[in-house]
Amino acid sequence: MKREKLVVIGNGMAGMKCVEEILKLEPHRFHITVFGREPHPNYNRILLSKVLQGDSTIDSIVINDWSWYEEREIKLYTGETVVHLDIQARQVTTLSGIRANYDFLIIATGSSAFIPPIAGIHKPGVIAFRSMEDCATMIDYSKKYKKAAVIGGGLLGLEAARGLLNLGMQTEVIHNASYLMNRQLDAMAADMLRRELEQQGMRFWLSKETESITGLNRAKGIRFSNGTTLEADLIVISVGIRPNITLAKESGLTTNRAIVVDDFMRTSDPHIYAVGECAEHRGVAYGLVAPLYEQGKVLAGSLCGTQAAGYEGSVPYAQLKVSGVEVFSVGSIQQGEADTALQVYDGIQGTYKKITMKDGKVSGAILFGSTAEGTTLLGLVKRGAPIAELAAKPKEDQSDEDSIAVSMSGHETVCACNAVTKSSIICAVMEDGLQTAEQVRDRTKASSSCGGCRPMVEAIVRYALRYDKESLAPEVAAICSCTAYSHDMVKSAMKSGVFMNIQEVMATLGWLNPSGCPTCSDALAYYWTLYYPQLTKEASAQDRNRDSRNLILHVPSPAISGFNTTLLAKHLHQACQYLTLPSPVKGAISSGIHSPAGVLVHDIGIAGSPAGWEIYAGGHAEHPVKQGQLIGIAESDSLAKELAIAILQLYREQAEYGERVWKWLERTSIDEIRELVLHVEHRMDLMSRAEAAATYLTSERLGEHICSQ
Amino acid sequence: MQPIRKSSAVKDALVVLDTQCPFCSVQCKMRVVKEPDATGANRFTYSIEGLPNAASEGRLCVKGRNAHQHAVSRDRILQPLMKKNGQHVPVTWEEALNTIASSFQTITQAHGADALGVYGGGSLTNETAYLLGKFSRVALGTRYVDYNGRFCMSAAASAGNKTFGVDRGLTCRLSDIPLARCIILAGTNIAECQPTLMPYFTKAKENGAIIIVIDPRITATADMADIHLQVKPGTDAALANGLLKVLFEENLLDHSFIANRTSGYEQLKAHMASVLLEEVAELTGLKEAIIRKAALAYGLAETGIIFTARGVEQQTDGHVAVRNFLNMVLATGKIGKVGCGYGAITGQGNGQGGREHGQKSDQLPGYRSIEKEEDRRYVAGVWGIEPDELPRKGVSAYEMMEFVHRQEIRSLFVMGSNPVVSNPNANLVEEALESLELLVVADMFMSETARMAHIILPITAYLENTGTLTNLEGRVLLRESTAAAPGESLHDWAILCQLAEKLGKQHYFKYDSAQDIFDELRLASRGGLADYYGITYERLRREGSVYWPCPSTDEDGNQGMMFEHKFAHPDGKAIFFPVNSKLPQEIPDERYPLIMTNGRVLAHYLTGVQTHKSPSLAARSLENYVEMHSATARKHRIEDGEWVEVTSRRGSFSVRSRITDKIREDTVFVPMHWGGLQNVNKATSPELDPDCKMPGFKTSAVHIAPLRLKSYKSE
Ligand SMILES: Cc1cc2nc3c(=O)[nH]c(=O)nc-3n(C[C@H](O)[C@H](O)[C@H](O)COP(=O)(O)OP(=O)(O)OC[C@H]3O[C@@H](n4cnc5c(N)ncnc54)[C@H](O)[C@@H]3O)c2cc1C
Ligand code: SF4
Repeated sequence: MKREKLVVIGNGMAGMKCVEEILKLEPHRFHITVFGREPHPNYNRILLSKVLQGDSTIDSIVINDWSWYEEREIKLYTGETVVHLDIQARQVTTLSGIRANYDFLIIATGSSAFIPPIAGIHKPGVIAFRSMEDCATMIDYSKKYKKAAVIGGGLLGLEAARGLLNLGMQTEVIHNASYLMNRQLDAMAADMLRRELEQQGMRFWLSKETESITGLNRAKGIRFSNGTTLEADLIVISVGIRPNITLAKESGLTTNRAIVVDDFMRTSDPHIYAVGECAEHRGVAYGLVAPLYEQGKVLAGSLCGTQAAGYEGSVPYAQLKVSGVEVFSVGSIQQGEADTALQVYDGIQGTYKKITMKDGKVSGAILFGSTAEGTTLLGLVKRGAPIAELAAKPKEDQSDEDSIAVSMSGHETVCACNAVTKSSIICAVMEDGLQTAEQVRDRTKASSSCGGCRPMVEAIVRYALRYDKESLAPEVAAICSCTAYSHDMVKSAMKSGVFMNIQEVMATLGWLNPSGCPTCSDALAYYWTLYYPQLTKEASAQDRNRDSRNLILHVPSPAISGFNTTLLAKHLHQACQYLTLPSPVKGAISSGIHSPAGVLVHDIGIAGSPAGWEIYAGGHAEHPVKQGQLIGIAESDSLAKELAIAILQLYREQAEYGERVWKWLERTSIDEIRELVLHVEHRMDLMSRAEAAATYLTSERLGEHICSQ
Repeated sequence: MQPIRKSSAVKDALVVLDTQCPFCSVQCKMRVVKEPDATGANRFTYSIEGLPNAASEGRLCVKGRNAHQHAVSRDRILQPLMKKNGQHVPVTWEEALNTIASSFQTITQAHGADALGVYGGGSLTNETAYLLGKFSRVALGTRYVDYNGRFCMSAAASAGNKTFGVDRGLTCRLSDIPLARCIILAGTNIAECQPTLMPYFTKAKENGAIIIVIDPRITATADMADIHLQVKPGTDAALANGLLKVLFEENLLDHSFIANRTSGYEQLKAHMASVLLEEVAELTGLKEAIIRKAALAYGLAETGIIFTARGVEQQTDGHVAVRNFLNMVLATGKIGKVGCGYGAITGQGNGQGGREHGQKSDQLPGYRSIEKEEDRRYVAGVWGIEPDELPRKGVSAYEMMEFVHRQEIRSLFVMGSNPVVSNPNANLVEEALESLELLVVADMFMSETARMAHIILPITAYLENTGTLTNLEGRVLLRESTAAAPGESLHDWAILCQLAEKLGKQHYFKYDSAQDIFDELRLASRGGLADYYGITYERLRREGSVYWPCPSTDEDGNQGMMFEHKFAHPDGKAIFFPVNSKLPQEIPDERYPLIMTNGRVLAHYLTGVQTHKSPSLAARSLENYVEMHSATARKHRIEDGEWVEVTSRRGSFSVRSRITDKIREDTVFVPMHWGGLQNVNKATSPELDPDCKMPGFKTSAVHIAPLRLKSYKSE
């Protein structure tokens, strides 16, 4: 049989994907000719961001190199723009006059950056971010100039901005909405993103409309509609894309926003198909690779006559490719489109997750900080899974290690050689998106030394890949119904912000109940003493139950021994009497085993022993009974005092208001606490913060709390 | 945890130090990157990364990862200190060195040069170890120099010397391990002591090797064993007899190897006739069947390697026990071929190099003997002195302590060691050191020994002090150090040079750098057993590491494998040596019903002077403990985690209990990294192996009792 002639316009990602699929199905059916405007073989456009950021080279992003075309007998014309399409004659013509006839034609011309009609936008120094050439231009500019601006704070704009930073340019991002990536994120996630990127060195101009590009012969800056200006030698426009449809439109094919296709990717002409960003399916023109690849597959099937079911549209999702930042978004997330089903913020890990629902079904999600769950969520959104599935647990069929992996606490050490805990392995999997034990080994060093823990590491990797984040990290609850914020969120806001008083904190954080309730006011009052000890007058008035939250030491009459408990108690009392605490702390000091004082069941316990003073924390005598854990050993009285104060200060800083010492200890790693208080410098820091607080917190109240028996 | 991101301005302030971990004999190469802390308050954060090299292949263990912490600790001693009115007060170097020199001279005049003792360490670089030996003999003229390596390697070293004619840690290369079909690990807990070597063994296991572990405890290493021989401590020599017996019975011997390459076979054969497997089983507490199984596994395997370490060696019969394992190696011909050999796994960072160049009482550089005339002549020639001026051999480390106790030695110069904690019979040692007229300690920290010193000299840490170290294989590595010396601390070798000058011996000690010393060491070792002549700094930089012996500066391809064609005895043969099965040195009785053995834990090194200073390591192992079986605990009414007093005939110490089922019921285990009241050596035995003077650390009969049942003594 004579081979049919297949012509493809557009040598890009969607077009070539489709050709690959065709070759898979019917390697010898068509004579394939490809016209591409760009002078390169097909490359991975997505990775341009990485090239710009310096993580990939131009060579390494080529998907199909020259020999690929040759080996498959594909005739490739690069640097050839098709300028004319004759539907009747079934013929295409390029700018340089090359003609080609077809039996079937695929239009895969993609899109171009949308260049908004702004005065001066065509000045040299203003470019889009779409092709290898654009990339090269930016790299060139970065060698000559220092200042860059990106107009557009969407996915692409931010990736470009990150690249420019890496190229050593000072980079400003101008965005017209009030928060970044407003199509994909909510204000909360966008804000976390902004903060992260600011730390990386980006600067943002939000809610700003660009009026014109200044500069005589070349771009020198930007003028905003409110009259302010900004200097910039390189301006990258990234405000959206426009499908390349001129050719199709002129030839008489039905077009709308893009070339209209049916479920089998057919255009209005039976010999012509369209795929990729230039195609519009059921009213949607996609701008991300995954849907386009799906389309390519369907198109290949239709051409080869193997496609039974048509393309039904895709759920697009977005993921930001900026190193050190993880953002994922899928489905409907805008308010009004859907309701919030779940919202989790983890201030410690710096992660955020929001899942939306519509009619009881999962309809969208935003992930920030950790996107490992992205694929799972994407699956749920695609399926329109009932909301109940969010809580579903995977089925049991586990090895020994697997069940240990589940039950072991996050702070337990898995790899003793390299001191890697379960949670760091889990982080490596969930936050850095690692998939295998090898990758985890390379990243965290777990199992890289003696290798004994390898099966355990594998089990934890499996576990982390399998489970939802919820089942690993407890959901962070709001302090009370006056606010949506958790303790950690409020603490970090108060720590990083500058406030004059508690009312201002509530106002800034959008307290629903402006005057607060007893629960949140007490917590805020305590946190205030922690972060603003110099401004505590007002707060201490509000801290109503402050008296009950002090250090109370129980010191039985000393046995005859080398340990002077009374003196140590006196010193501790002096140092800590005015310190506010998250919850009452009961301490016991004993001179040794012959003078029991319940050291192990007090929040803080200090006991003389043959090795010196032993300092314990986290005991609890009531339900649930907890045994104190050894934090350190001190050979001298002064070191014992230092350790005790350092532990108390650490507790003040890390615990939530109302959280008992044992609870705090249970969610923190004991090794970490030990490391911090045993480290001389960290200990000194903790002590001096405790001392500073104590000085400010001098107060008229509080009598003697040493109740000697 | 995600590293904190820093602005590029800060990045410029990076300091990158490529170095070697000081904490064990693997000598893992690593990179320490120092960056200013985010707070900017003149503080730094450190990130550590393993660097690829032939032995560690880029791996590091938790000790290596945190090894910088002690070096940058605030607790470093930064000025010379002198005890005045019972207090250590800062003095100038001038004053410190003058005082030492004049005191040395006074003592020498009154009592002779042999009243001066010098005590070194297995963590010193080759250069410093070499110079310490030379300093003792040339600058001081004393015969009494020895080092803590006695407690580490002496049994295996002397056994290797006697059997093969030379002692190099591994007779093969680490890369032979994966090629061995059977591996015997006798008394070595690699998983905790040299963790980065474990992959060699797991690889062997993947390749189908049978792994046999001999240990009274189910250690992390024993966990990987196919056959675990959970012996009674101190019966390793007997166990080796049992294994040999089976090899003889089953005729799993390599007769042509025996005929061509060994001597003394007939005696061994005769001796074997008298060995009864039942007796061995009785002595070792093992079943005959499992001994047989292990012997068959080793005998039938085509290739095999036997490793020993302190478990076998730190016994009063350590020397002969090792020789008995070497009998097995020779009888089966498993040496000098790929995948075969014997290895003594050194513990200390430079345990290997430290013993080759003359800080041992009977040795001169290059593993030469101080009693052999031609060796004396040669080294005296290199040093530019008359052979007669060279003192004769002295005594071993612990014996030196006894000499001190008897006031025969009146001044002790300690460098790189903490003898008051690491010697057995710690109480006697403490008494001895207290009686000294002058105790000088060169250290980075206020160690237990330094506290007792009259003068403390601050020395530099591994990040600051350049030098070569020889790893457990016998591979020489160059540790180049670029960090500045903090405070007034000096390199240990520089201190020796300055002291020599004060003693008027400066023309024997003219060095500007560690490299100068190394070049002289090369010459002094030339032609010796441990010949370093062909190794140069240049070459180490180029090749990464070089095995000794290395007589020529040309690069030679086939490095590392020893005894391919002949052994190092003059006749080229290795020597069999019949060993009697004996009861352990100390037998439990009614008063002291348990056997105590000791050892290391993952997070600490030696007596912990350095590792306790590292918060990350200290956090992982805060205090000492005694490990015992649950049945034993029940019997002695001990609860998990309570204070227990452990008492032997020598003394007692108190530690918390740790109850497990991973130990024999008749044995308790105590780590060795703590001093003071928690020091296990308060109870260990000072009895020495007659052949190598290794103390019998690993077997002491003890009694344990909960402290709560004792009335509290006031202090
Ligand atoms: C920097 C960057 C980062 C991106 N990151 C992501 C990401 O992380 N995830 C994601 O899913 N998507 C990402 N995208 C989008 C993704 O690259 C596009 O959706 C995808 O490349 C579209 O494929 P296409 O084949 O439709 O168009 P293209 O890949 O643009 O291919 C079309 C080709 O046709 C050529 N052409 C056009 N007209 C003619 C003509 N008349 N004659 C001949 N040739 C013609 C064009 O020059 C082009 O080479 C990114 C895009 C960019 C620019
Ligand atoms: S202690 Fe030994 S194994 Fe661990 S890093 Fe240091 S040299 Fe390597």
